[in-house]
Amino acid sequence: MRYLEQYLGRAFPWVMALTAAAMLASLGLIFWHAPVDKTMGIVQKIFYSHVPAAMASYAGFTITSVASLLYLIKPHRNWDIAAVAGAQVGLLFCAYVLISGPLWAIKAWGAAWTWDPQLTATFVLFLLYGAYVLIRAFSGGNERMRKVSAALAVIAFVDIPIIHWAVHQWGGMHPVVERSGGGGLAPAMKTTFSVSMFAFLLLFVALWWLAMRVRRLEWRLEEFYIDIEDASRTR
Amino acid sequence: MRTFASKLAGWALLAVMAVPTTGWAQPANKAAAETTIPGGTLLIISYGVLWVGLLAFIGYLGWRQRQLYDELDDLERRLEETVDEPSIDE
Repeated sequence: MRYLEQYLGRAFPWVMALTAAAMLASLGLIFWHAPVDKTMGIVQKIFYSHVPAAMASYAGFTITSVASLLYLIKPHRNWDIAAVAGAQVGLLFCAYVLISGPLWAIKAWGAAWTWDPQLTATFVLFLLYGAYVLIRAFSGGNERMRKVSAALAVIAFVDIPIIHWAVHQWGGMHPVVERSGGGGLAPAMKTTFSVSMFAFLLLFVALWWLAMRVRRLEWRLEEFYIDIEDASRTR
Repeated sequence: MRTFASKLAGWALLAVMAVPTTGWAQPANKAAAETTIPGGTLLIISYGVLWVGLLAFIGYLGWRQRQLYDELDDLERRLEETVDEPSIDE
């Protein structure tokens, strides 16, 4: 594990540089390469950040749920660190999805918000993992609360397939084009979308890694406090 | 106090349930609806929010990391001082 950490630590500046380059490339493609949609107009370009951000939030919440499950099976602190960092980054992207979606919908649907099944399920996802992050932020270093929040994260994961299948099962206003392999996109749009997805994936990895570093430092600090307490008690 | 809180919660629940029937949530068949806000403005707001959010998150992580390193340095120094000090028994 330590070797893996050292290896990843060395690779991190390269990941950051690649992320910055990919983000700049995706912005260039979005604004100068991708054509303007004939029906929706320029506002359709929100698509290139809205969908990848949704995927990044799913990635973050999936990591949280899997790491939480592993933590419940074998309570190692590394699983807990990975889970909290995943939820923080996932929540950031989910918040962006819930902001960019209504901005796009104002023009595309004529209303910022409708209780569309997929929209509502995404909002519920935001609340569930928001609750997880809040519990972790305000419960301190309590072991029991760590386990309670881990159980919440495992249960909350059920909402992700619900979001995915909501539009198939209950209809609603969300298009299904992005889920059928991007078949409905023009070649230039498809290229831009692919680059954007790659850039957001890298961005997610970079942010998750940064958040994990902070959590690990917090853990080290907690251990130091315990060491100091032990040292002062033995004297 | 409890009655007031339960009444408040009841009204809040009613308000949430009433939202879809109010003007805020328009009927779904408005795909071609013309809004006064230009699409370009909405696009710029959307990407602006993305970059502000990302920079704020990275800034927060950087600030928190610096704060933790400072605290760790301070604790390490205090721990060394405690170890170096002769104990009462000596």
